Amino acid sequence: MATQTLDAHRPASVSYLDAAKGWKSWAYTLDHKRIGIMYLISVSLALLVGGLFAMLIRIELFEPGKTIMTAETYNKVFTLHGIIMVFLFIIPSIPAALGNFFLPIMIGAKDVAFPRLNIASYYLWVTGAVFTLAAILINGIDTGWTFYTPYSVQTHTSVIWMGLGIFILGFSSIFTGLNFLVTMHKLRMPGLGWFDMPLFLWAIYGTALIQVLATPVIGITTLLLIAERTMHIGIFDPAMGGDPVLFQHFFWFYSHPAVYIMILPGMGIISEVITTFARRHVFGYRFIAFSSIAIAVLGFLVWGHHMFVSGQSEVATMVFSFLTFFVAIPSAIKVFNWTTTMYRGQIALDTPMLYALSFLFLFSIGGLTGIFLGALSVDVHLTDTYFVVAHFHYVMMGGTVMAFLAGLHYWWPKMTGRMYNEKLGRLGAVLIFVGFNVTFLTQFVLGSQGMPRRYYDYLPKYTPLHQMSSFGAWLLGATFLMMTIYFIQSLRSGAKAPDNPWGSMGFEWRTPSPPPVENYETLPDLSLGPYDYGKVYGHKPTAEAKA
Amino acid sequence: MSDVTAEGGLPEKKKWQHHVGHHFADAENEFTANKFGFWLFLATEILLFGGLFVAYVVFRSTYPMTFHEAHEHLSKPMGAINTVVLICSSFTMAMAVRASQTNQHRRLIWLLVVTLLCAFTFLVIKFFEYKAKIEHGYLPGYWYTPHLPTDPANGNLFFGLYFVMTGLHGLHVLGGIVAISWILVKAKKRQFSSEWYTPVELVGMYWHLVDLIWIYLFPLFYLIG
Amino acid sequence: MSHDTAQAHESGGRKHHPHVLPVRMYAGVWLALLVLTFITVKVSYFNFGIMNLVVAMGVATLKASLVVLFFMHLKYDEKFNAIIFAGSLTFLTIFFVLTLADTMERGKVDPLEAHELVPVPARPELIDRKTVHVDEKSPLVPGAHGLQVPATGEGLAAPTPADSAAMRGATGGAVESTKAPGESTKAPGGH
Repeated sequence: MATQTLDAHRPASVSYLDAAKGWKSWAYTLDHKRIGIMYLISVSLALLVGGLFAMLIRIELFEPGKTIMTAETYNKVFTLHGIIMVFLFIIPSIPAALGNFFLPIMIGAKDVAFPRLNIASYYLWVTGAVFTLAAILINGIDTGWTFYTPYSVQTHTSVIWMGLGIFILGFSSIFTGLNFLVTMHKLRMPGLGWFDMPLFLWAIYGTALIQVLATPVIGITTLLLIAERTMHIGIFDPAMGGDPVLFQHFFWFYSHPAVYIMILPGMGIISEVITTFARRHVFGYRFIAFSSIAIAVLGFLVWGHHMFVSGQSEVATMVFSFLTFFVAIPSAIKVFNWTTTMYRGQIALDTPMLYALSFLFLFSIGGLTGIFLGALSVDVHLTDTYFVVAHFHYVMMGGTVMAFLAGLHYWWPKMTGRMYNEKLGRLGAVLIFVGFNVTFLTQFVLGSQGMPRRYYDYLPKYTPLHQMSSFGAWLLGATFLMMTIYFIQSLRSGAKAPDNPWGSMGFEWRTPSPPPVENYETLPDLSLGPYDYGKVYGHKPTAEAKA
Repeated sequence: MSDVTAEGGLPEKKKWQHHVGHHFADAENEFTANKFGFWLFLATEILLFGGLFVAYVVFRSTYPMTFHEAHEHLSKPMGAINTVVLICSSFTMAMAVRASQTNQHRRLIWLLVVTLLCAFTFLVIKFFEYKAKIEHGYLPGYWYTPHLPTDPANGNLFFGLYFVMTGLHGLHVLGGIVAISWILVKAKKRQFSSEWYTPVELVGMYWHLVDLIWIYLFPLFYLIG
Repeated sequence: MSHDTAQAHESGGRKHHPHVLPVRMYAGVWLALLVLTFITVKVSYFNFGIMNLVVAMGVATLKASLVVLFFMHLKYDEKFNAIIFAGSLTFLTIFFVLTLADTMERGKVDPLEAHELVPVPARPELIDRKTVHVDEKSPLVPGAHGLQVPATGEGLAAPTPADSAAMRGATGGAVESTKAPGESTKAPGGH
């Protein structure tokens, strides 16, 4: 078969990991790759802590009534599970860790546009994490991650500490998004047009748009909540003429687009993984690219679908329900295009691909159940039940976390220069898929049978399903533990990784593993695009939209 | 950003030199990237304050008479003077940026000083305004204790929003004072020139945004007709 | 960092050439801003009804445009910066419109939700009953129907044991323990 060399012979160069030693070289680094690694370690720790809270929840819910904690403690545990997972893990995870590492490499740049802002973003994350820790240790927090008024104004838990933490984390997110937008506009290598970029970057672009436009509103929301608690301004208090539903508008104006911050980068990773492991050019490049932007924009129009039963006007309710159906369209386009990409491909079921396939299946379920919930009449029955809990875990965990794991396994050799144990990797992927479905499919049933969310106690008839869900959760926990172990093992004694273990056409694979400090000794040859498998492996791509 | 010369000798202390970031293609690339990034930051500020304006519109549309009545207890003259003060400071700031673009170092320094004086004046006037409100009991929330029979009974919402919005704006003025002072120090060290004046430009843009927000705050609180 | 790139910046590569605008322009904009301020203050002393708001916002927008286009050089910048600015305003508008679609349209479909809006101050004795109609039976009036409003100077009450019992297991909702099931709990802002 005709082979064009993807790996040119290069002189030995110093990798970014070896370029400087000592903790100061990491603490004061301006290298986007090191910043990405620090983020990766940090968000992974957050994932494990959030996961620990999840395990506690599932232990408590194993039996009706008190199992291991009081109701007040339970409220705190599920609140912290939500806060840590949403703000400390999922929102920064893919963009700040993997995006930071790979965005400059994928556009042939030496770094992001504002390296000092980048390290500042990281330290803002750390500060936000410290405030979160303070909130946990001082009085805990029991409002649910959504902080609805009036309870969040009245509760004696550490709402102010947590509000400040979220404000700070918000700015970490804003600065990352800002940095990425400028980087993509201004630092692309000569000859790399917008439609020559890998699709991961279109996803990051859409994400960055949302980060910059939506996050300030959660900032002002937390400030107003703090003002309400300290000065009792009254804007959310009906006794003083205020409106508690207004808080919900403020909160969800950010938090709905935020869920697209969570899923879009994952979708970007799926584009990379599926093309690599099916060895095919992506089907419908421009459709996928524009759908990322469409999701970002449409995501701003639908926040009221979280508020159907809050007391908002019927006019608003109907408008939001109507608009919610549109936001499904670009996501569906992506799923169809990824599936078509695999047609007639040479599918390799390596670990990253197993996670990507899980994503396709689980995200579809999650997305479709979102449509059920978008239908106003159905939502009136399903809102605040376990159906909603199952829906968002299918999209956030079945979607984003699967994509995150796909990306982690895919890019691990590039970032660390080591391979992990492939057998354990595949085993982990299968066990996570099984554990996940056992945990959350049961919750769809629980919800439709009427089990409310955030409830500490429940009727005995729900016990069998809760127990099944808990078993699934414990399987998930055990599997994540195994994953942690084999990743650590890889760092200590994993096989040395070649430049391109997967035979991928992506630009990041045309530089050594791990990359040198300035990313490339020789910039990639742009006559070979990131998906041009046909040119290298000799078969014709399917007819697709002009790439 | 190293200032080691190409020959590897010791850094020269004669003239401070800005070095274009190594990841940028050239100085023009760096300049446009900096401005682009700063406009994105200003977009976030617009959305931050914008949320407060949304709250304002919601409550003004719900309680129009209360807002009208309550606003009469604000001092229109003080608000108008503050508006003029900020407009003048915007003018001097814009002229300062121009001075840095044209290598007029002394003029730059004086214009920055005048801008700072205007900023301080604004805060002083605000201080007196707040003091008067507090004395009358027009405080936010449950400290709202008006004591004249003609006082608006439900003004706590108006004054709550007044204090939060002008307060946040005031904090931004304070931030601007810090930023302009920082630029002033650098300007005295002759660190700006027609080749490198970006920090002056960016601080200027921030300051204009502070003016912009006040341009809307003023009529919405002080001029409810 | 390699020396080659530093030298490439110093020697090759485009230098930045500032776009300097004439003093006349800055002074002109400054004067226009002062004049517009004078106009908007003067107009506010007359009552033109709804036009007051229209004029005030119109003048403010004109002033803002002058500042953005000229002082902030947006007119002379690359186009995308204007798109960023316009984009932020667009999304802010979405926030306004859809939120107001809620707050201004309550009670249009279900008359039960259309309570007369009586803003209740922290000190209820301040409601001037001669000018403001108060429905004494309304749950919105403090003291009458169980909505406990703190007396001036007190903090908001800690939840009583009765409240805790009502709250236990509930989602984060309002502490309203005196409503019978079926009674509307729609305050001016919904639950």
